[in-house]
Amino acid sequence: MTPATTDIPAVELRGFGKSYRLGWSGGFIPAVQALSLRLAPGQVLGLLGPNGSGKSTTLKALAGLIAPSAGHSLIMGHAAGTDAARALVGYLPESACFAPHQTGREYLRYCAGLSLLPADKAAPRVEAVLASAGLGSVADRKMATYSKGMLQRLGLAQAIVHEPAVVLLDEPVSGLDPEGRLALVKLIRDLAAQGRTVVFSSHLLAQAEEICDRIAILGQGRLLAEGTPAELLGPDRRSAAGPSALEKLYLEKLRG
Amino acid sequence: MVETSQGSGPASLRRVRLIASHTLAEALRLRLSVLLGLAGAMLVLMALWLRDFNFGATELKFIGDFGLGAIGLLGTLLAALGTAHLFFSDIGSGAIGCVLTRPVRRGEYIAGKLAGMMALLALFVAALALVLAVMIALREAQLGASFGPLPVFLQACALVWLKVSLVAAMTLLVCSYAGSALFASCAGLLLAVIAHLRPFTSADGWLVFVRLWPNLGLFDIEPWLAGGGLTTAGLLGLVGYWAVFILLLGGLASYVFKHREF
Amino acid sequence: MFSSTANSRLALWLVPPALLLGAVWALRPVESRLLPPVLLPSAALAGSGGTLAVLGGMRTVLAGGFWLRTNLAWERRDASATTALLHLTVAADERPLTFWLNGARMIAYDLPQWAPADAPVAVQQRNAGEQARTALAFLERGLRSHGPAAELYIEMANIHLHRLHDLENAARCYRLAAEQSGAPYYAARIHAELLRELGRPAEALAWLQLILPGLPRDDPAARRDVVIQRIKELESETAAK
Repeated sequence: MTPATTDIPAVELRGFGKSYRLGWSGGFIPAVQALSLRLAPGQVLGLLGPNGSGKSTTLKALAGLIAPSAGHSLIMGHAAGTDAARALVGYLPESACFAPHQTGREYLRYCAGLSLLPADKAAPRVEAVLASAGLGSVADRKMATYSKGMLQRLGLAQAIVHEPAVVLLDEPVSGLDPEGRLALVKLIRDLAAQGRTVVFSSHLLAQAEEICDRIAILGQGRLLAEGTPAELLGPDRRSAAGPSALEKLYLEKLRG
Repeated sequence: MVETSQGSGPASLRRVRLIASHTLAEALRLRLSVLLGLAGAMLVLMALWLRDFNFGATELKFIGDFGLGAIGLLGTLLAALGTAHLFFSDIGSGAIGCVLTRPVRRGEYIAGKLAGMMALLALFVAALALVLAVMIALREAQLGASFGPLPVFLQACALVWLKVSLVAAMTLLVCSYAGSALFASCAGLLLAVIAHLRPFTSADGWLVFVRLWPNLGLFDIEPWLAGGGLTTAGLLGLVGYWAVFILLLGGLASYVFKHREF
Repeated sequence: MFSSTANSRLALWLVPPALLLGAVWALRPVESRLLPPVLLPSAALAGSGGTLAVLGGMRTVLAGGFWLRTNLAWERRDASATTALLHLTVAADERPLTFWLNGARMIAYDLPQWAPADAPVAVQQRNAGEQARTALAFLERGLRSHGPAAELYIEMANIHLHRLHDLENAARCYRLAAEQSGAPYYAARIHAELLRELGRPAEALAWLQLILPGLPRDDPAARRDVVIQRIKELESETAAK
């Protein structure tokens, strides 16, 4: 799907907040508070932050798996979770474990079917994403035999098999070896090159700095910093040794 | 690239069918299904050795009653445990996120899960009924007696399936509220037992006014077997009653599931 | 776990139960028509082994197991175990008449014999009376669970007659037995005989005259000749009075 060229942002969070209830009689614990972000079509946004900062909650809200407690989360102008928004989204959950008895190809066909790809387009599309994810040679093996890296790449493949305009990836490179990380980073770059909007969460600052058009740093459910790498880090982005400029900024923001 | 007719009937049916066949494929690979299937076949065959415990009926009637009882009991276990396991394995593995972020409505997901479980239960009942039918046929030939007409036997198997699919639907409704597979399976089994309790299933008595579940006593096969089977009107009435509750329980599970977060 | 405001959260917990309750109420008339034949006298069935219904036909084996254990306890002359296991047997499966009939015989005839032999006669008699009444209550329960059956009424009549020496109730039970379909012909004859012994020959005569036309001529068990003979005797007896 070619990204829209209108003024409508591909992804928009407007005063988004999410609180979770603590048991039956308890109060609410805020996971994300007053988060506002806009992302133009074709941009790549990296959500950075420590555990519990609200990255996954934000991605789940954009995917429509949770409803906002406050504010709005929009995909191409449609409220997240509606039929229209879900048709535009591809989502990779954190540490997803797919049906182990199925082969990679069978699983992608199932996903393509759920996304209502016409039968004549589904088969070539499945082959294309299998090839782009580097899974062509293992496509007929049961997923139970896949390595962590293969499963992550298959997860990404299922998120893009229906060619969504917006791709949401929750910790796509976590637990991967360096080779696997490089392969996934390349896949994300390819998506961006195709004009798709990508939002991903990560702890890995080096990769984020490398591939993101925009970066948002979250801490304790609040937006601590947001902008392009150039806006956030200035022209001197890399030092010869020691932590990178993004790492410095990240630690600085989290320490308040 | 995605079809725009995502809300249309055929598209919706296609998604339900896909989820149902995916659920069935998963369910068939469950160790639980295989174990209960084998245990069921063994129990059905054990009727031959348990004849010594029969004091009140002819041998063929005892084998038929016992075999159908075993199919019903293990089918109930499979309906409650299998439904809860399949539902929560999707949630636990995160796979549900990959499904529900597609143009799949929550109701379609529930309908697919229920249809998949009902298909599994149909296969379970049919396979064990076949074992039972073969055993009865062999004993009929040896004893020179007749168990009864085949349509009555088939009716009895259909009633068992209707009953266990209602247990699956009740468990699915519990799953839509529950936080764990253990709670959902225990509650599903408890409901299956309570739904047989005479004070709730009898026509009179005040307890019937606080009942929130279908009357599974209606699907008791023994009285019908003894009475020579159901009339067509009776069978249609039971199917109608079953359909109302399947739709209601499935609809309510969808309603609750729609508000659930992952 | 659920996304909603307080109001919709409340609806989530109230709407499904309310709809299910409504559906059950609305379908009650349909349920009454769809109930299996055995469940129709439902009020009388409340309580007896309902939880076991989920076992379906497997109840037969469970009850069979309890029945075997009952007999083992009976061999050991363990009165309390025999009684407890008898109740478990019929709770597991109330359908076979053999459990009710043989169980009642154990209670009424065997249990009193297991009392210490050196107990005073008065105590033994009182014990026998109590056990006979327990057996009658057991059979009454059988009637409620199983529905009216000539065999059960005959067993009750025998206990009234032989253990309690209560001719009045024995006669009543024989008559109830005779009125059931498939009842043995002798139940009707014994009813008449007991009425005669109770000093009511006119009633006995009327009863025999009532049943005579229904006795088949080609069935020796009907003993038409005996009934005709009794009628003649009763006619002369009542005429003499």
